[in-house]
Amino acid sequence: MTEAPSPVSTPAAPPIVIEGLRNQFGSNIVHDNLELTVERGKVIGVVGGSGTGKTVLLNSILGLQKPSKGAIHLFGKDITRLNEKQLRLMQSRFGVLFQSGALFSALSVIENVCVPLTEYARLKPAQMREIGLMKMALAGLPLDAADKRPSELSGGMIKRTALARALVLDPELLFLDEPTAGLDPIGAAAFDALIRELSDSLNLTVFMITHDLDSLYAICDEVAVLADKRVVAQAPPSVLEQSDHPWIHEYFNGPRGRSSQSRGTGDAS
Amino acid sequence: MSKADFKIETPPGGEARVVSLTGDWTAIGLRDAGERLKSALKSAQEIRIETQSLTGFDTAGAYALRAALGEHGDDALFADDPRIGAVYALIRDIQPKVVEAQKATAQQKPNPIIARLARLGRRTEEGLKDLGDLNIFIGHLVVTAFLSIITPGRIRWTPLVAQMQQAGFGSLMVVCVTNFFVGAVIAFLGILQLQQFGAAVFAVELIGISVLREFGPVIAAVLIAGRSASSFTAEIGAMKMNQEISAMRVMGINPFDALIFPRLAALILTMPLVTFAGSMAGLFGGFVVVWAQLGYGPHFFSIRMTEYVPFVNFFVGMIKVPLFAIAITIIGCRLGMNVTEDVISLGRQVTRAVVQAIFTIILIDAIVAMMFNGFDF
Repeated sequence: MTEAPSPVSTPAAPPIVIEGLRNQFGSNIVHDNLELTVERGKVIGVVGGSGTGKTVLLNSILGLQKPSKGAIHLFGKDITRLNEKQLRLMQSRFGVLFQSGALFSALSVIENVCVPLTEYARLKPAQMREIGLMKMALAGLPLDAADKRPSELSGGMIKRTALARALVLDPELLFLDEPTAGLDPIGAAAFDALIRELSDSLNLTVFMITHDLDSLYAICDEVAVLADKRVVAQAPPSVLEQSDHPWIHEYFNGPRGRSSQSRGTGDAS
Repeated sequence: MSKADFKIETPPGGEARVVSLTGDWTAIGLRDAGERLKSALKSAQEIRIETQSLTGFDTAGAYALRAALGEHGDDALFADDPRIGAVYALIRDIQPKVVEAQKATAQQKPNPIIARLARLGRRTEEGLKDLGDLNIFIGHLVVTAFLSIITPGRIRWTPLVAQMQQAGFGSLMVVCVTNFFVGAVIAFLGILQLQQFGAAVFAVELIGISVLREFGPVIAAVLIAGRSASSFTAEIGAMKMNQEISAMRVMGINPFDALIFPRLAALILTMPLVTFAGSMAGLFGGFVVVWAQLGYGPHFFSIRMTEYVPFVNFFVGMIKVPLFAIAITIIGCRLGMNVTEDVISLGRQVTRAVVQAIFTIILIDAIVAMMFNGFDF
């Protein structure tokens, strides 16, 4: 089957295509005529001020929130028109890292990581544990943390566990909601590097909501800016610095933006 | 989705065995392919891998392959297919570590008897500590209550009144309806049994004594324990999880003043009233059945009730209500304060609160029943 999650086969359709999306709550229009295309293998950062509906956009793409109008195509299929079974199959092709981790508090770290495996794969328990441990190692977790409870973990370890869980089925598409929020700068930089490395070697497409300018410069191929209820710009960060849109200008050329720019170029040279 | 599989060929003249992988070497397609490959390659000297007919490959497949290849697991095997090589390279050094970690956890498993003894010891220690914590909590509450009584300025009236409304009078309806039915059922069964001795009229005394002394107070307390002990634990526990209790402490607000004393006072003040209303509903339920079954009207019922049911029954019934109120508040609030940061502990403490509160109510009821046994005036 050509749809198997695999780096070998590369179906042509881009992972995410959003056309004319409109999200409305009562009289409050969050998105109107929003268009966004993400190409395969790209790491795209989504930025926007508070209340511009970044999380609403993510929920719409994940199928958690039905849009008022418009179409969302994942791998060429309109997710608003999928039936239960097709949606499940689609969901096995993407992984999500929620903002606060969303680990199941009743389960240990390794059990959390293996939840998608128990749902989708038919493996022996020992084999499943090995794959879970392998994903933990990939996500940079110490393997002796396997039997800890989520309540015993630090913020960085919660994020890494959630990343290991998001990656356990080797998704083609990875959604990250503020992955570095609440991490110390060293942990955040390590997390950025990890995501970049994984996306390169596993050919992942990454859709990342972030406020962290350092992350944008370090790992994003492109940045999509949400403002005025739509995506006003989609370009690499170095291009967006030159933008004359007031919010984008302020964002990239404010005091924090400038310090990240210098660091970003410093890394490159 | 096709299952992961492989074919092994030994070309004539060549030393190397050629393994051609087929199907999906992914978490979903893998099943037992890795183990089969491992046993097939046991005696192999040199291996080459063909990946042309592979339809899917992910890190789980790479892991199984790495485990199967063992010492032959060199990156050079995948020189023809760089994308598969990249996935494989990611896993190459991780796999031995995972195997080691698996071994380590297998070795760590302690002797089951020692593990049980250790758990028993830990439980005992926790139980003793819990008992100590309970005493500290009660001490705090007594001090707070005493200070509030001598300096009423400390009392926070808004939460007090809100709790009276919510925890107290909010339960009026359900307490009355439940008691009505309980009274009716007692009357029904009582009449049925007493009629056999031609003493059906004694059903009135039966209703009066059982409802006023036992059923009215206990049913009201059990219902309020179910409603309020759980909601106290959930409210305070959720505040604890949200760091609201810490925020209060930092601002110099004592949570005992702000949260717990209002709940205690509200239940002590309202539960007797609710219980009284419930007892009356129980008597009314009994009366309806007596009237329907025996034809004794309201006049007869009220005279018989006042003349033959001693006042002590009502007294014994009402005297335990404040004790119930105190038990419900202490259990509900203390377990709420015990909630730690995770959601599971909130659920567990709410369950414990309801079970402990109902158990304690029955216990108090039994103790009071023994104390007032034979008491008469």
